[in-house]
Amino acid sequence: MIPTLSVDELTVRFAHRTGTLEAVAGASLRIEPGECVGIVGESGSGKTQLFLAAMGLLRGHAKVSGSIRFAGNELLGAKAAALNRVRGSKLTMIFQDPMTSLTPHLRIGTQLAEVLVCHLGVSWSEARSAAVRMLEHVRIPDPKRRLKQYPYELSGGMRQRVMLAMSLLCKPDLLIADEPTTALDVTLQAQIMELLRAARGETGMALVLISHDLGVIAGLADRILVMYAGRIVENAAADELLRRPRHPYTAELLKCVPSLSGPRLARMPTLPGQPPQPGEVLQACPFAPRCPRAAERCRVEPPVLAVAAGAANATNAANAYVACHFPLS
Amino acid sequence: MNTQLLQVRNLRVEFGRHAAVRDVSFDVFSGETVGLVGESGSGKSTLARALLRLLQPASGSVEFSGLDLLKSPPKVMRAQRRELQIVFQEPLASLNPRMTVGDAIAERLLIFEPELSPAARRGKVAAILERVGLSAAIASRYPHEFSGGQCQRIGIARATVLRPKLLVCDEAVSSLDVSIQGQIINLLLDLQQDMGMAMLFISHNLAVVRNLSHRVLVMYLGRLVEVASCETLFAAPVHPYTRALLAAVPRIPPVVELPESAPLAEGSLAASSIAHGCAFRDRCPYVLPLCESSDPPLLEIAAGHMVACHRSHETLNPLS
Repeated sequence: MIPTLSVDELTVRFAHRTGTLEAVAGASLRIEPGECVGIVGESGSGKTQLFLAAMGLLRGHAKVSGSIRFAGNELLGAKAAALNRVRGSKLTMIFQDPMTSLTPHLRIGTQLAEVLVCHLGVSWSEARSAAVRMLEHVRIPDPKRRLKQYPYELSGGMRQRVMLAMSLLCKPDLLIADEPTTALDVTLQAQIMELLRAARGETGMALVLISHDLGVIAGLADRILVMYAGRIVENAAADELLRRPRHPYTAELLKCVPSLSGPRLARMPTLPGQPPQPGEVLQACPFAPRCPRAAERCRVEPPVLAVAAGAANATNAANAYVACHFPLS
Repeated sequence: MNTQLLQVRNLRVEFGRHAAVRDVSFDVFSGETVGLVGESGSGKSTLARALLRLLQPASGSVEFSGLDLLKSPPKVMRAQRRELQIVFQEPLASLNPRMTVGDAIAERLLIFEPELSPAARRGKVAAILERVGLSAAIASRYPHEFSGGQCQRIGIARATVLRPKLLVCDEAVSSLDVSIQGQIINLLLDLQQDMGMAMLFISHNLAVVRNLSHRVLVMYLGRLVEVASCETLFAAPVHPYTRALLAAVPRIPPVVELPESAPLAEGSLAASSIAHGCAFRDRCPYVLPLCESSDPPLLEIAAGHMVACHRSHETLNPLS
């Protein structure tokens, strides 16, 4: 089976006053049809840049090298016209801030219908009625009236649902959701998560869920990728990763998430230090300065993402990969 | 921990015809941490600003150390500010970009302790910077040179250099990554222990509030709907809103069967209809005809546990 998205040795570099800045450093991943992959990492870990590069949205801003194939077709270096055939229809992305993702001076209806007119060549009136059905589908009350409204007239949760409706109109094969609920209250977050879950069930699309919130990802993802300093440091089935984290960073990150159950803590568990800052010179393993297991080897030899011990016999889908010289077992 | 520090009674804040905070009453005791939770638009930040008189409330009273802040003349109010400090959500935005870190902190000392010699002032700035886990050498640097977590430490240094009695933290850790969030919370807890200050900790993150508060206030559309000790609130919440809020928090590992799985509808109550009846009624799964006409008062249902719900005396079954 051809993977929906396959990324190989992707590197994203920006020019910076301190020299070149590597936002993504040789990341490789595969997303199978229908799979939900969660991407976890702190701010600056490169999780957004990786997928902006995949969408071809970094042109002119960054140097992108490696390979990004969508359903087998190379996207990197493809002509804009070729990219636009898949972008917004088969490959879609929604962002954290739904206000800045919508065009402020166009009515909701125009923005939604435009997607169908451009990609499927249907008439505007047909597109509008499809837009109404899709708004109904994402549970927006009174969708006919909403079509005539402008983005500023909608609440944050409503706007994110409009974005979701827009991204689902052409029945995508892959939806990339970048922090889709971070700007929303927890009650609205629950609704958006429920809609994403339902959309996956109905269309069979693959879903990439980028978030700094492990709780959000845990509820939806089949597989979780952990990023640190532009590198994928762990890649495993969600249950496995949450129950048996192998990379020390994953383990420490899980410990830091405050819990709503269990005993209340007198102090919060912490991870010492801070993620590398732009321009900072990294050690061979970028996590070494904060790592409780770090040894001399971590400072001289970069760890590569490889099948974790004890996971080699598992089926391919359940394989666990970790980039660490001294993984937890 | 038993002396009353802050006493808020029937506080009301209006923006034009819209009441952002309505009939809010609560106490904060010295050395205590009180959590304040609620969705965006519930009035949490407005309440915090009104307590510090950064906004002028329409009515009610805020008594701090026995003094009514709302009726105090500006001079008296200004003197109280050294006891009453706030840390904001956006650490970088709340620091003056053209002022060095040292000057930003020293400004407080210049205002409230003008008798200090420049050397003594520098000494105090250096001491508080080190206390919050930064190096004294950064005093001559500018805010843009620091990460979000470091800027928040600077904000905390600035707010605590005068050893306030009450520190209001308005979403102080919300914009930070989880690995940094814990560090900042522990710093606040340490400072609280050192200085014996009380904290009003405003956050939409319920798990954080649970781990550091003694008592929790739940706010909905400008009103307090539940007040309880932290243990009670998280173990046995009574108000349907509190219950829905807790049920909506994603868990690790994911909880497959939540006690209340029905997601809360988005609020659509028009501002004009909030004035009469329960503000939560259009989203409440347990709504009664009574809720349309009468706004439930905040009543004590057990020692220290107050709820504003007409059905607070009933045992409401979890929704199926």
